Amino acid sequence: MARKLTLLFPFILLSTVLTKGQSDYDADRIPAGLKEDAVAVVRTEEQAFDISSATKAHLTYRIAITILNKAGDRYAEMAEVYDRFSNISDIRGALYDASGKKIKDYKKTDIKDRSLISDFSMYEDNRLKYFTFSHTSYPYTVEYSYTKEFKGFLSIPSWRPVPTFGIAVEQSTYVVQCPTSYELKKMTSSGLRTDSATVGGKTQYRWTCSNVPAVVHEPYSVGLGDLVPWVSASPTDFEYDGTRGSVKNWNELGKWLYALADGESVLNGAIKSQVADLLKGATTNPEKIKILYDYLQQHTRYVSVQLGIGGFKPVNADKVAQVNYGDCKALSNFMKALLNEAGIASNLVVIGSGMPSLNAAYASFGQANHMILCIPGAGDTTFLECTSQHYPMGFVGGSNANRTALMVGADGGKLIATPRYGASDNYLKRTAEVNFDGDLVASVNITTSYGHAQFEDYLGVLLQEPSEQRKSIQENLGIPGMELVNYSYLQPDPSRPELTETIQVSSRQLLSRGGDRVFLTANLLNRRETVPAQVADRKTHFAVAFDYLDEDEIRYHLPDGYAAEYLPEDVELESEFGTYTAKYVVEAGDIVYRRTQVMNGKRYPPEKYNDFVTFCKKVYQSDKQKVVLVKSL
Amino acid sequence: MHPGYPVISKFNNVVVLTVVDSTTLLLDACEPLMPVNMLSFQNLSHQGFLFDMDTLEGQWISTETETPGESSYFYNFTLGEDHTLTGTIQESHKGYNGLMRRTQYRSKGTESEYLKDYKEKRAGLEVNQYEAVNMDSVEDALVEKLDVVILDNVETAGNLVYFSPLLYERTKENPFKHDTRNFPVDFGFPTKEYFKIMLKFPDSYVVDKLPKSILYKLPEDRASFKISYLSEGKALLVTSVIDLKKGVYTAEEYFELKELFKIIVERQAEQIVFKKN
Repeated sequence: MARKLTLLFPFILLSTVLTKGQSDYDADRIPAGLKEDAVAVVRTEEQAFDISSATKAHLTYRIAITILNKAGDRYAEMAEVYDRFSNISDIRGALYDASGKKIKDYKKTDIKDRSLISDFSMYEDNRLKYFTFSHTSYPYTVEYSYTKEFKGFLSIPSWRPVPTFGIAVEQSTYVVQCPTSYELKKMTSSGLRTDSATVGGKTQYRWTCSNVPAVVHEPYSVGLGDLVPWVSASPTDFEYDGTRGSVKNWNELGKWLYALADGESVLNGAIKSQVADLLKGATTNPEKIKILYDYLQQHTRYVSVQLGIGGFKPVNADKVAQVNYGDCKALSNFMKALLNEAGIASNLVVIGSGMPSLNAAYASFGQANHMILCIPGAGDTTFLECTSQHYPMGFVGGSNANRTALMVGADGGKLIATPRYGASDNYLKRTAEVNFDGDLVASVNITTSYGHAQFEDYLGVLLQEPSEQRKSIQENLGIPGMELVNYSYLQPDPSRPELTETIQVSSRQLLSRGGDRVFLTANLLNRRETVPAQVADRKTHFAVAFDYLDEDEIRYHLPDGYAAEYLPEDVELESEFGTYTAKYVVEAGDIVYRRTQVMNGKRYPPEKYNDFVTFCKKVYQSDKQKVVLVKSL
Repeated sequence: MHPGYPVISKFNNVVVLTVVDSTTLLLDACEPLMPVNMLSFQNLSHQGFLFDMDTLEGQWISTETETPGESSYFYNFTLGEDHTLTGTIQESHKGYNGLMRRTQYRSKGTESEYLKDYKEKRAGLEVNQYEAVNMDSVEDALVEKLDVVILDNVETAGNLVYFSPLLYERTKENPFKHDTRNFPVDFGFPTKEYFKIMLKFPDSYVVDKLPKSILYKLPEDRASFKISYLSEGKALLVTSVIDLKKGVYTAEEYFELKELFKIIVERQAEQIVFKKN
């Protein structure tokens, strides 16, 4: 019974909150437990989304947040995005001092309105309305509210009352209201109660939380999602920019995407005969794909343009052929059109590049940000990243690899796995040789090969001007006191994601002195320099970003008249995070240092974190081990 | 900007000049942590245009600062047979260095967040007690006092025990890496870094052989570096001073600076070696 009663109150609650007295923002009234570890405390937050139909909805939002110290200043701002399908109005703001006394009202003239073109986009229609509160003594409280009208929407605002570390929440509520016939999709944090009721002929869903303490920032964290309340919501059927579709499941969403692109990948005109010329003499499919991918890379550039449905619908392939540029969708679709000419079928693939895999159990917009192309083969599917002018064919890059993505076809969408790059793919393999002259000046020859994800890291250097490459080596190599003698970067086989770097340097500071002895840090180039801090009672999961393998072998020809007085002990570490070995041997009078490190890129539970720190610490300690040399004469 | 080519849009900031008891003072009002007669770093652009609102007369004045950035570090440690260093650290930061440290402290929000960051940058450091003196008295040197235990910084090799005495304050890399230089090196202000460590070591240890003390000066005393080692009984004293007397060095002087830092990096990396009996 009690539960039913509370359901009647949401709107009454809302109206009482709006008339709250000023002293309610007195910072002293924040429960002590919420100030702990917090830079800001959300005093009250009310978010309500009222759906009238698939093309009409209304958001009201209001928040009061107390900023406790300078690190919390960044939360003292109102910022909301809008576009052609939404409009923000009724923006109000007020600033309160520590005792909750109002200092200032923010007026319409304080609100700034600007275009929100991301740094990689040439044209977008997203705009931002914002204003920033500023106050110099702490604590202080900011309060703002606005309403937003939607004319067609693909997703429903989510609710994230605890947006990040260091934020505590006194109380927050989210209410979604929709016609009883409306199919709302929703996903919530585990354990969060959804109250639903029928109010005034509409279905109402309500979520609330109160007295959520702040979580201290935790290194390597995958986020607060497992700890704090949240709600994601989505329409099932939607209407947007003159189209209709469904996100009931990925298959349905795929159908909508297919219909948008259908017919846009047919080439006409000059390009047709050009492609026919290119393909002359090519007999196998792999050959044809290679020729066409080379053509794409040599003739097009990536430019991002996002406008309404243009955020989902590829530009016509003929248009791309004329202008030679396009975004990920346009270029993938153009490549698809080129392959069509060769009689090779391909599919557009929607993917969250650098984002988590698509959630198989919950289809929605907002999980993807990129498009690539795939060419299904009998046992071997080829994936093409069409926005890079430099990736070898079939290499999709670490941010697209190891993920679940949505392949779009005539029969709708299908979830597929992108290529998996494991540790043995993402390698660094290095050999170096060091000679010393009579004055202990070292000359060092280094050869390093980088594969896949590590290849990507160095691709930028490969493309730089020589003078910039020189500077990059001088700034990053990390050999003390080094003079760069010579270097080269090359891709030994352009069809493979591998880069070879050779560097020659000299240095008189490879050895550090100590009385009559000299000390040599055997691990010349690949040292772990820091150890993450231990965390007592860690709360969030953590992750190693990706699988990789590092192998270093360094051979030191000892300076004349010196002998090794001490070699560090070999180190072998085994853990679920990875393995590590460091070995020191004397071979034919040389000291040879061999190091291997294999890391397993995945998520780990919080209770494993201190073991991870211990592993890192052992690596750190091993990496700085020194060989002691002494004059033997 | 060119003094003979007046363009209003070439200016983007305003500070106040006042004369108190015939002393000229510049006041930068935008930064709450700024002491009197110091300009924020971005205002250290060598000259400003002084404008008298009453007489409507103006003139170019120098904004070069006399205030250096000064830091000193005093370590007082006992080396244990378990290779830990136990004792106190006292850091003092004046002028621009004080401003930077206070800004850093403020940006972390709380003392515990600041200390977390402080420790993260210093591997093996455990802080048992922390005290900041003059955090809010911006005209005075900011003094930080810590009781610490340091692990992982003293190494062993057979019966040798060794460590690099400057610990976290060692200049590890030469900031001047490039072969050519076309523009002056502009630090903004002169800097001085003073370091001293007093160390007691176990009776069973003997100092193998101390590194050489040196004093290295640039021509006309434009900058200097000094490091010295002393030992007596079971105690030793190491001091290091880096003194960059100018805020700006010419492109020609770049190579002197590069050489100076090369020597600093090399000499500060030298190890103190003990033999265990």
